[in-house]
Amino acid sequence: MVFSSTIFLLYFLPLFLVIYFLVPKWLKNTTILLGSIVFYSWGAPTFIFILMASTFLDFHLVGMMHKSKEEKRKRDLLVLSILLNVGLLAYFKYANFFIENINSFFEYVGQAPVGWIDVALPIGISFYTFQTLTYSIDIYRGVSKPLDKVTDYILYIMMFPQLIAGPIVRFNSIAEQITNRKESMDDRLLGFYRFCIGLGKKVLIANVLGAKADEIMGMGSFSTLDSTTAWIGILAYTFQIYFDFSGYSDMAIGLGRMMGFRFPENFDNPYISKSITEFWRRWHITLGTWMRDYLYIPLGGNQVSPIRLYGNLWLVFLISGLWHGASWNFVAWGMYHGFFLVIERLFLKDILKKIGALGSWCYCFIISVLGWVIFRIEDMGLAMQYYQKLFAFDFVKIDLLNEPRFVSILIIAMFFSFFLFLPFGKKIQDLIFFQNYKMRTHLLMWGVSMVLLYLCMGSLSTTGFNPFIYFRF
Amino acid sequence: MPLIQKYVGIKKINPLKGAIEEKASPQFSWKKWFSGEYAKSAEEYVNHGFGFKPIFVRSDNQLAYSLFGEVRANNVLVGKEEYLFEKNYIEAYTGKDFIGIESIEQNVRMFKNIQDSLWARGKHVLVVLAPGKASFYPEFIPDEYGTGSDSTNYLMYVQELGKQGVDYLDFNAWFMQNKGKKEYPLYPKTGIHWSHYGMLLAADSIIRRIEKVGEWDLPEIKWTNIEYVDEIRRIDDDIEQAMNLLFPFENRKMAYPNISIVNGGKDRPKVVCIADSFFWEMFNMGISDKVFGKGEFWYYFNTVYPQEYTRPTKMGDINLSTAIDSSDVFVFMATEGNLAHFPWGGHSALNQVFSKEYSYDEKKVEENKIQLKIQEIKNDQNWLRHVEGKAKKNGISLDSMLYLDAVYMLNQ
Repeated sequence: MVFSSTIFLLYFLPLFLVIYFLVPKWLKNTTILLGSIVFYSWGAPTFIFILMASTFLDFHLVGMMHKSKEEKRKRDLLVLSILLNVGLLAYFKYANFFIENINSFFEYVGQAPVGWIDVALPIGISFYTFQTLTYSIDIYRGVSKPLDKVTDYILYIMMFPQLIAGPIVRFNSIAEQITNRKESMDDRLLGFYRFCIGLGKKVLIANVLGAKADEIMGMGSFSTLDSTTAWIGILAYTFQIYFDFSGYSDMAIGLGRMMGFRFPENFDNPYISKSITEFWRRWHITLGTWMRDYLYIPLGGNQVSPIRLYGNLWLVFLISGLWHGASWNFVAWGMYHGFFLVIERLFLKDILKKIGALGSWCYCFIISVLGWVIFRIEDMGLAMQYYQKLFAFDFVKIDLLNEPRFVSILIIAMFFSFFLFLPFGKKIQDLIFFQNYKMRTHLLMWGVSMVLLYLCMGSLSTTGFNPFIYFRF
Repeated sequence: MPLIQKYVGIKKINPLKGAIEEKASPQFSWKKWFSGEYAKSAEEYVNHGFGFKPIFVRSDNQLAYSLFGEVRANNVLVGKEEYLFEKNYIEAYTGKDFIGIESIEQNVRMFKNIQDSLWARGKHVLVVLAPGKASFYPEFIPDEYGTGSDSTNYLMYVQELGKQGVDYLDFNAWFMQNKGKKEYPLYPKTGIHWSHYGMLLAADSIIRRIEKVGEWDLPEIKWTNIEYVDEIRRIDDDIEQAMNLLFPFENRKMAYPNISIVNGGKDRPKVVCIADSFFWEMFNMGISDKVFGKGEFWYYFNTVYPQEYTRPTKMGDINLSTAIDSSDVFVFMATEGNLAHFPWGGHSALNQVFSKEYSYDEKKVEENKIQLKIQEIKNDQNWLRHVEGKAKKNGISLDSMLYLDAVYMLNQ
């Protein structure tokens, strides 16, 4: 079930919220848990059992680890917990990829391939794994205490707003809220506004841009593609992925807030960044910070030799790329970003300072746009062909007036992506997202949200194009 | 609210217009649940008919049209001054769907053969060329769609029908000649078929022609009075209805004669009409039943009316030889937008019944159509790129993919 589906918007969510708001406080977590089981089972009716069993097992492993006085036993149990969760991810997400590559190698050396039946990828498994890991590691590090009830742990892992596509909610940031959170009418309203904004980003902007990106970048061959169309395609995808993913995060944050949870922010205007280092502080923030705290720092962080530091940095980004999907293009995308992060640390940072804000922004924006080519096109040969077309300089005149919807939406997407460049941008953003509302603002936002909801329902009623990009990760 | 509307029905909403496939309510079983089939069918069911859906759809269609000029009805195009067209009519008028003189010659030869064979049995054939909106209102076609061509299916049919001596009525020419000369509009602004008024004039002419060729005395259509009103009725705004907008187009006044079929005349020849949708209004007003006497409507030579109303009846369900024996007249009718596929295999089927020795090179005609479709794909850069992509994906040559796509398109 996706958030931007009629069954979620018209059936699941209203029924869930009515029940949730009506039940007494002691039943609220149970309501969320049951709702989350229904939500997840709807899309993965068989995997739910594996997910619940592994969560149950992990809870007890971590409980044993916490009670253990002996450091070695503690560490062994942590390793076991990590193996359990990473093992699930490795099997369900990477086994096909691994066997495929082994078989390619065997074919190359003239050996018979390994027999294998493809494993279906359960939705949201990457997010699930990273959250379970934070629980084990946070408890091991003593950052948080383990939960008393297994149902609370399953709730933390399976909470439907963030289970499928994030944000990655670290256990230590939400532990208190699971057992003791305050809800207010203000939270419910602010959550509703945020949800509607996210829905609008996804349905009204990302879907339109996605249709164009698919039309251009989804072709099986780019031999007849001209440079103008190639640039239109990649720009459409650049803004599609941002509005799609940040829209989903907004919806997740909004839903959580309606229930009294405060999920972490996941995006902070990434396309205004002036370096790739800054880009990763603004793009998929919860993944970036997870990677930093649970991978980069344990590898030594900044406290190692420069060569090792750069190697670690690249490794982290390589893993980050692979986390997005079991395919070489994601590995290449991670390495591509890792490369720019390393050279920025080596020397580019100083050059960027010298060329000024506009030059730095141009550099970062172009690098991130070009990176999306390998992210979008899985076949590396095709991706290279696309790069050739981008830089073939065979620009043709295209009458964009023939596509007023695409052009209008692209302009709107660019306006909001670069909104913070405007002198009043930051002020308006803070007013909408991070300040308490006066009654007048509530009325305004209520009106805006209802209009967005109405427009989205209209759009969902008439179109079938509604995929979430990040569901696959 | 939509949930309550779905199950309680707070407000009566006009349903959406157009061909919409009905979805059955999903049946739960554990097997379906675990296979994911239940979730899929439940989502389809909800998407298909949630409460207030018509309002949402109309709002979105209206916004798309008003803001971006997008039309959500299949094949519909908004012309100048908001005159509505279907694209195949414009393609026919501009010659883009021209199937070639060879195919048309062959088709008309078959009509001639059918006509001769029927005459030998005391029966008749009449080919009716219904008017086309693009030919009637070329001044409202958007400039980018081009102008009329000398090589169109319609012009070639007229030429060949005349040359080979097949009996025909050309309403396209008659409508164009009488444009602006009749008291009331012959063609509506927001409909694709002839106006109700125009249809009645045409029906009268068809009856008179059949009377003449068979020397019969048929019932007459009597007009009592004509209502000339601002309100659009019947199917005079059929394309606009299919667009499912919130606000209607500004329309022109249309005429609606009140008619009755006078039960005079002593003859009731059985007339079978093999036609496109231009015959629907005639059929619905009772021409087949009351004038032609148990006449049948073989819609696109596919579905048989009125039998279809009582039980599904396709052409394959009837015995053609018996049907020919029991009928007196065969009318083949199509508008210009449908001439590329006219008469949908009807001529070859009838011909096979009549004349075993007649050789119809169906393969050659079909091949000709495929080559024309391939050329159409090649002329469209986006389409060609798409086909190239598919060829690469399927690991076959571009020519093979083009051929497969052309065949697929023609079979649609």
